[in-house]
Amino acid sequence: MFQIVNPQNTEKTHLDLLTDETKATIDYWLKKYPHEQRRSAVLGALHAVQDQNGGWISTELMAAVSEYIDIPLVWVREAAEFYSMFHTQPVGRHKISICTNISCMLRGADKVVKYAEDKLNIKLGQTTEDGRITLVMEEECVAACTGAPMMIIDGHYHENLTEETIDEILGGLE
Amino acid sequence: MTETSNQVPEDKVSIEIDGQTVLADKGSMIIHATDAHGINVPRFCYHKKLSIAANCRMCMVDVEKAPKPLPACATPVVDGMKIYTRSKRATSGQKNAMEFLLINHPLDCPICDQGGECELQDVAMGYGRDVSRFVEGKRSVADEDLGSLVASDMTRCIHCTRCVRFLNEIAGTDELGGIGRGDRTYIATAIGQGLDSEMSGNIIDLCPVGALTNKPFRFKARAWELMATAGLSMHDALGSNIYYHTRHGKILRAVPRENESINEAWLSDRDRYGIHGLNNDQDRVTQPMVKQSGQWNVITWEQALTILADKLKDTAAEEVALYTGQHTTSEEYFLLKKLFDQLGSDQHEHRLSTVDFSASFQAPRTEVSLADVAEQKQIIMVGCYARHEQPILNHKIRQAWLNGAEVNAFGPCHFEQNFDLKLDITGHQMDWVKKLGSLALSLAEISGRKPDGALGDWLQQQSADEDINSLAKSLLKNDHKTLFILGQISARHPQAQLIKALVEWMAPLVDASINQVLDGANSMGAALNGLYNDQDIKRNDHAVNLIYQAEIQDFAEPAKIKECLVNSEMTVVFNAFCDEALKSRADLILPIALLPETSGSLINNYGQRQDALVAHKAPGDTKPGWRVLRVLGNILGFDGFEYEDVHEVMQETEQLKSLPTPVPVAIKEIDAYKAKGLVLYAHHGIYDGDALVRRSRPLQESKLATADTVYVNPGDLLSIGFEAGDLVSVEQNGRYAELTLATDEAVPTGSAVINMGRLSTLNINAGELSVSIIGAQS
Ligand code: SF4
Ligand code: FES
Ligand code: FES
Repeated sequence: MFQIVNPQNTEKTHLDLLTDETKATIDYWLKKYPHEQRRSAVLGALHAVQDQNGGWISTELMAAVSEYIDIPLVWVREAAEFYSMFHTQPVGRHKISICTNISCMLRGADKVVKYAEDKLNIKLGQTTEDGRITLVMEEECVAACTGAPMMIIDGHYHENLTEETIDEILGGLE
Repeated sequence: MTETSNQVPEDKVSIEIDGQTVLADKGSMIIHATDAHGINVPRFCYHKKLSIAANCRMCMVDVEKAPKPLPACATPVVDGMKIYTRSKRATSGQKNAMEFLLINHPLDCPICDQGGECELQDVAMGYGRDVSRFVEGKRSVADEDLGSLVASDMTRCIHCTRCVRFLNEIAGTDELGGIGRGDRTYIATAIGQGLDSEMSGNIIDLCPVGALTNKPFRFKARAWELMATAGLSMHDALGSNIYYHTRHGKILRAVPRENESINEAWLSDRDRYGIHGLNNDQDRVTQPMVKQSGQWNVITWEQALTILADKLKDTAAEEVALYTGQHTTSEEYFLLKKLFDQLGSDQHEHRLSTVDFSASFQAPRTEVSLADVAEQKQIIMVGCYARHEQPILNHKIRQAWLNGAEVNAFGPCHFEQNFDLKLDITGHQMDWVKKLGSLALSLAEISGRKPDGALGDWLQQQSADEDINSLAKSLLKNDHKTLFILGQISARHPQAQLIKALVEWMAPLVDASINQVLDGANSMGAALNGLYNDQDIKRNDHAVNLIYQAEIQDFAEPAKIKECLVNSEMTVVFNAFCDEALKSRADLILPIALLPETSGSLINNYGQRQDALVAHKAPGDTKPGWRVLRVLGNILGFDGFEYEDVHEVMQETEQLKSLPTPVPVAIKEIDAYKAKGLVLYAHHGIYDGDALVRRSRPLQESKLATADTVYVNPGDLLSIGFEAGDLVSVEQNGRYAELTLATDEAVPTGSAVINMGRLSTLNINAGELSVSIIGAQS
């Protein structure tokens, strides 16, 4: 490898992957932080690229974010792999996250998981064959313990789950 | 030591640790105080040179009035604080942290390379339980290939993030990160691209467990079988302090020996892995040899030295020339000089990488100490790629930059840096010097001062540049000192004296200091002993040429030296290695030991004299150089060669006077360099600098190793008429080098970059700037 390459001059080869709307969102977040702390904009940016990409973030998009914000790629990957709301594998049209933290667990979250898995014929972390539903790998407490057990579907909370309500809710998903 | 609290200075607080009253710096952490007083607090994530992460929770101590144990590394001291490091609450906190850390850590120390020198193992002996209460399955983590230097066993990782913080804070390359969450966190690169920091090996020392280990040393020995010998690095002019770990007289690995004024707690990869060249026996010479009617014959030392002495006696003194490498001990230089003085020849030179001999020899300038480089506010690198020339110097520049310094650069390429450059002024080898000229011109115009003579006339012909002009203004305006760092690219430049004169003229105008980056580990020692000549001795045809600890690849003008050697009557090689390029031009080979195989002293770039001890047993009949020179002096009947021991020679070299303070170079005339075709930039790769690194397989297989390539700007391809990837010939004054053509945006237009120090470029002289690219000759 020839090492006289200046990273400041390396072509930013992934920037084209970002839509104008995504760029505008990232700019919005970048404005909120001083330049030295621009790393903080990574969460807003990851949400934006996830939205533009049908719900998940590819390695190329992470590279695009790192180039756009001008931070190391590994920082972007750390954030993307840390938060359960980011997906780094392709997902279905609907994302279901079943809380399995302590309150929900005490109120039968494991049974909810089992029921949903059997009903959809997939395991946590998988997507149905028709691309309709992804069961998200794990979800930590989202402060809805009073309604335990609970799950989040595409950002909406569904509480006090029973087999009947699960049937009803899942049945209503396109 | 007990102090009473009524004499507590302003910036200190008085605290009590385990019943002992001590003073601690205000705002410092408890662990700073316990460390300062030799009180042991176990830790994994804390490291004195890195930021505080407080994520391992091993350093729990008991603080009076605190409701629970607190981490010593992240709890600031408060006046009157009472700390107990051995109380029941403290030790139970530590034991619990230990148990948690061991949950997912394999308990297979016997097959782990870190066994015996593992911080986790040590602490577990003290704090761990005998039997694990954890019966569930442990996790395992897939490993990625981090390259030829660092091996990984990520299942052993305890997520202290020392490696992540080192690469972020010190190396500045941010290659590793903590991926995932909770018990599924693992340490990885962003996309499996490996490590390419020139300081990557330090994460091995930092890793408290066996997750990151030394790849070439892997499974070679156990820590308790090794002996440590204090040594010095010989790959750059800093003399980084090293412990060589040896077994049965063989160096198996190198680790840093702390020296705050030089390498701190770090080692560059070159200094850590260079030693693997020692074990490369492909062209190691182990017995004296003479070429007789085209045949190499092994002879005894006595025969060899007699042949040499007879030839020296028969040859006119000025017909004998000596070229020495730049990493030899001062003791050998001293004896060589003594020998040449008594022979009556002044044809000796150590500056093998110099091509501009137009001014007489000057002592190198180093006006700012290495440690103080980190305190600078304005640094201008002139023809300097510090990252590869002296990685530790680069670390100091980066520290200065992190503290807010502005760094600017002039040079023949956009080099990859681990800090931001305000201005990165580049041009082909002649152009960037002109741009440095525009800086001087702007300074002259603003200040109304002008250099005299040839330099002043030359400056008149330069043109101004807007960016450079604003740099000039800010240099004149700011109230802090500037540091010019004259790098090796400048030293090897055919206009080296002009570059130096420009900087020397500018420095007083803007209140600047100058540091020169020296080549080799001991060019200072060679200079101090007087092993130079005011002219280029390669110009003369000598009857006898002595090559001392050098290879043809070490010369900036390999084509030229090859010619000198061929034309001579006898070429004598004093070396540890002798490759075909040298052997085919040699007549007598004397195997002498390299630095880790011999004792002696080195003087570094900053004038510090340091001693090194023998760490490695030299193979075969190899002898230390000082001993060979002593015997040669005796055979020749010269005075003062009766040394019994290297320490006697070391006493002599200690007496050497320091060099006279340098005066600015006086430029008599400036060659109007004209290049036709492409302008050559003879680049020196980080691992092409000396006999050992060239033979170190781990370094040559690492990402920073160079290749037999010529690089041009992509915009020049059309006029060159070849495609990237083509095998081409680079032609220079009727000589050819066969290389692969490649393009890089970092290369300025009109420039051809060639990697020197390699066999493929022995036909290229760095001093001849016109080259052209033509079809492959073979
Ligand atoms: S690899 Fe070693 S240094 Fe890096 S986080 Fe894991 S244990 Fe710490
Ligand atoms: S534990 Fe499920 S919402 Fe809190
Ligand atoms: S050393 Fe204090 S928490 Fe790790």
